[in-house]
Amino acid sequence: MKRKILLLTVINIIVFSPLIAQGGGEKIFFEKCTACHTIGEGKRVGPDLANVHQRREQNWIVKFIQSSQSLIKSGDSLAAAVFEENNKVIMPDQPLNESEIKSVIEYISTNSPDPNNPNIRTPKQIFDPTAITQADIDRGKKLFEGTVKFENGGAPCIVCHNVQLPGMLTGGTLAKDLTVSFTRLSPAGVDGIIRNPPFPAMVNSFANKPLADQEVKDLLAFLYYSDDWNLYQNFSGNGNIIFLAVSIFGLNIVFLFFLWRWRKVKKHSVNFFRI
Amino acid sequence: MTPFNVIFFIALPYAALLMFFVGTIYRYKATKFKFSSLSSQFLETRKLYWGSVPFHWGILFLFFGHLIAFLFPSSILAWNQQPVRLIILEVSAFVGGVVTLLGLINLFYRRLTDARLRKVTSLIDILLEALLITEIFLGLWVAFGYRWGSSWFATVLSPYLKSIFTFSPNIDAVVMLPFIIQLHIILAFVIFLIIPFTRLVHVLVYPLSYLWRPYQKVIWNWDRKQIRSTQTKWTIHKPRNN
Repeated sequence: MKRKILLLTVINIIVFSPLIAQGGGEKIFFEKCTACHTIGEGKRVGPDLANVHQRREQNWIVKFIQSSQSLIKSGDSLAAAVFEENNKVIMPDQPLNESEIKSVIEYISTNSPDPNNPNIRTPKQIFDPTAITQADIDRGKKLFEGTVKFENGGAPCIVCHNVQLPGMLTGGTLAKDLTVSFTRLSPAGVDGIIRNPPFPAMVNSFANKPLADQEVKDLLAFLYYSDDWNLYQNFSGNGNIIFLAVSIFGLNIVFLFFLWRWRKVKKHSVNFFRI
Repeated sequence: MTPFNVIFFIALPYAALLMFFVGTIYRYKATKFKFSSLSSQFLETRKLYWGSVPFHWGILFLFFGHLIAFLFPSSILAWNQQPVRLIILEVSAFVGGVVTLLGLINLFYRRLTDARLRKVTSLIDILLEALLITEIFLGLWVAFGYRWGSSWFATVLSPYLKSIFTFSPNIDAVVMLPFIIQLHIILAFVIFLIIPFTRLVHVLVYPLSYLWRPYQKVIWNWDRKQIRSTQTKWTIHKPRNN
């Protein structure tokens, strides 16, 4: 009996060890954090994390990373203040355990500011509205819609995202509407998310199919244009109504087909016929 | 990874697969003649037609639609590259769903109201039909509320299902989906789980051999004109045609 329990324990440890194995702090930081955070390179979507381990309690950081919204809802005023400070952009819950988060914090602490670091892209290098052309915007639009494929084969943005512009197919509603993404996230934020997506659904699509540098720039140009256009005008599409109308039309066609087939269906038993 | 997610997106699919294979094989071996949908059609073609036919056309269309999206996700993305083709696919799928739902509601109504049918209806029949109606309704909700399902199925759900079948479950993306989509997925697994106990097993014994079986010529060995009307008494001989 004891040997069986022992055997079972060993098997379980082997099966579950990948699940509880620690990821290196660096790997996790680059996979999950860099889209919105930097270490000493300034604010992106979220705050700069340089020396965060000195500013906040470790337990608090763990809780915030695992579910910032739960922490806010639990009445933590510090968490609420961070949320307010960062334009109320919800930080996605990260499925990391405590030891993984500690390894990330360790990574951050060892990599916190080096004042002499020259590898910093200035906001202007990331996106410069004066440098974009109509051709960039058009290419960005086609990449967004999918009529031009991404070089490495990633799925087009319209699959999950919508951008409200006249003459454009209404986009997906699974993920955030990107019509005014620039206002919401800042150019550096949009750039960070496109280059290094923190959302699992985007990771699925782009993990092994990263966007080319030019493609990111074209998309930024298009999203900037959309943001700018919607700043002065308001366009509300009627995609839902058109979708329903076409569907009802299709439904009629299908039932006409069934009606047509009904003529040929034998309606009575074999020896039943009227005289 | 909360226990909820592990149970419903890792444990449940494996339980469903296991039950599906073991259950159907066991049932086929044990009660071969009951491995069917137990036809309830009996002189009521008219009533059945508007339920059964739309339902079966619709469900086949939807089933193979989901299957193709799962097996060949890149083909769906390639098709959806042009907006017009995307709309054609999405509208067809949505119409397919509505047709299936209307057919199934018709069948459900018939099953609940027909006294003769009630006699041959078991609890699991009711449960299955209720589950299917809910599942199809949720599917329509997803199609309408979270556009464009055909595309994001290929990028979000195909990798998940593939990870299940290759025994390396990755639920990162699925756990972030809206609850309605999660419910649609969970109910689908539940339906697979109970297939061995229901009339749904008939999909596994579809008489495909009929497609290449030779024609059977039926000859009526009597004069049709001599058969009397059902209103009058027979005079020549008692009709015996069936």
